[in-house]
Amino acid sequence: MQLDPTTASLSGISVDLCGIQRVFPGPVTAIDGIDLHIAPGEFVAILGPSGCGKSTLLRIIAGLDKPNSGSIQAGAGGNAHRHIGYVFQDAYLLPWRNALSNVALPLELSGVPRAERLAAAAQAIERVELADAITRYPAELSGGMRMRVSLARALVTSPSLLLLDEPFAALDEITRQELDEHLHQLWYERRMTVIFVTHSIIEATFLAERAVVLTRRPARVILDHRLDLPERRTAALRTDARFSQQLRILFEALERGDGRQA
Amino acid sequence: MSAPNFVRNVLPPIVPFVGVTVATELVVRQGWVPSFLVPAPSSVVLSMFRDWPELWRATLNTANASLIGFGMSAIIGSLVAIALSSAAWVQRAFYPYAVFFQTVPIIAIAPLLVIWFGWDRTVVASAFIVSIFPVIANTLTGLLSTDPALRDLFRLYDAKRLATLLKLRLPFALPHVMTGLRIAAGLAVIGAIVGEFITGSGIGGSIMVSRQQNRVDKVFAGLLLASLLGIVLFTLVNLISRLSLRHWHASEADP
Repeated sequence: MQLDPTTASLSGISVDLCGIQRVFPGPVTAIDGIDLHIAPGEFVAILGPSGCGKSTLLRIIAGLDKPNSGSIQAGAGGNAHRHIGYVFQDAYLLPWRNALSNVALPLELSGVPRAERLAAAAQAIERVELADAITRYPAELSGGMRMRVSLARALVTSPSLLLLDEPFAALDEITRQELDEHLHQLWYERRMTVIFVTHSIIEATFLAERAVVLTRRPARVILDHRLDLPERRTAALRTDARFSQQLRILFEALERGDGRQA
Repeated sequence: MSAPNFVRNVLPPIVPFVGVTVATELVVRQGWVPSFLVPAPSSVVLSMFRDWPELWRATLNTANASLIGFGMSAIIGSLVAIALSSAAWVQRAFYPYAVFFQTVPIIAIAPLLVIWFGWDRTVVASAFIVSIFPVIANTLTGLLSTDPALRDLFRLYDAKRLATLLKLRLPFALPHVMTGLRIAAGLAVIGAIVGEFITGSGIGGSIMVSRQQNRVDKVFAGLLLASLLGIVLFTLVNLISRLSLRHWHASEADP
């Protein structure tokens, strides 16, 4: 299937994980039997203590790692692989390319003609509000700007599944909140399926419709919770009483999963 | 260039140069060191003028051979490194021979080169053989150190092997390649001159003949030209390195 940025669907795909188990040589069991059904267009946060196997789970969903047992189904057959956008913990831009050319990379690799892919990349950069930085090189951008470029690169293929691995963890609080709000806006408009891995309860609560809390290694689901918050998230929500109530639910689950009783 | 810059950057290397030159001149003029061992700097300059047509022709010859040898090292060395990096078993099977190749003393095999390649090509072959290993070793290191996360990114988008090589691994290796080329540039000149000791052409040949004629001043003139040639080649590589890396690599970033 040819990747076409103009007609690719704006809606998300479903993701089904069934009995996922991942054992690393050692042997260390990183993931021990995770079942998860994620509906098309859902925004799911995966929470867990550091090193619990969240990233491994995301890599398995992306097809970058294989589970020892269990099955993954993303979308209804077809080559769903191509419609995945992935944002890493760091921006991971190619330092020898300017912002525009970095964002165009995924399209370039799938053979989209030059004029077309540059137009799509310029559009994607505009969506993350970086239009004035398109000719700048990663070394000339701030950490927050680099992360925006990285986000634009993940969005340029109009993915139906967006995977994010603690993407804003290295940024300062203000920049991070800004990018969180931005990500929410993008999801709200485009309704791709989003799986967002984080260890920040606040970030998970602010962004997600549903939060999945994992235990300390080996990772198992200890809580699968639909957040009782309005669909539209704004900065004001962070000081809302309902917000702190939801925070507490996730916090307690995280503590239980961490093996340290409150 | 502003005055403080001149004092800080240009003056320091000039001071010892002038000092040593004046001291040598003095020591030789006074007869403390015989002039058939160390020539007076003035006589070297004089020889440079008197023997200029011959020396210039020799320099052009050596420059030509060094450049061709260096160019071959750059291209073939990179290709060999790409081949070696393609699979672990290829590297295990062939890299030891590249290392072995490097340890063979060039001066010992130079006569062989004459037999194999003929007089005309011996100098180029010698420049090539001496300068290829640093290109292979550095390029290989660069190709093998691609950031795993970036490799994941390319895998995620189903990048072909060739696309991954051209768009990720080679650019990523470029700073290492440049290091290899910088070392190779100086070595290519050395290799050419060693070859010329056998064939009798170029600066190497001129130095040999001058030595036999007890013309130490002309030997030194040849040495000077050989170093200048090495510096020119080195500067050329630096320029290429700067042009290709300045936007993105800390080693060539604007201060």
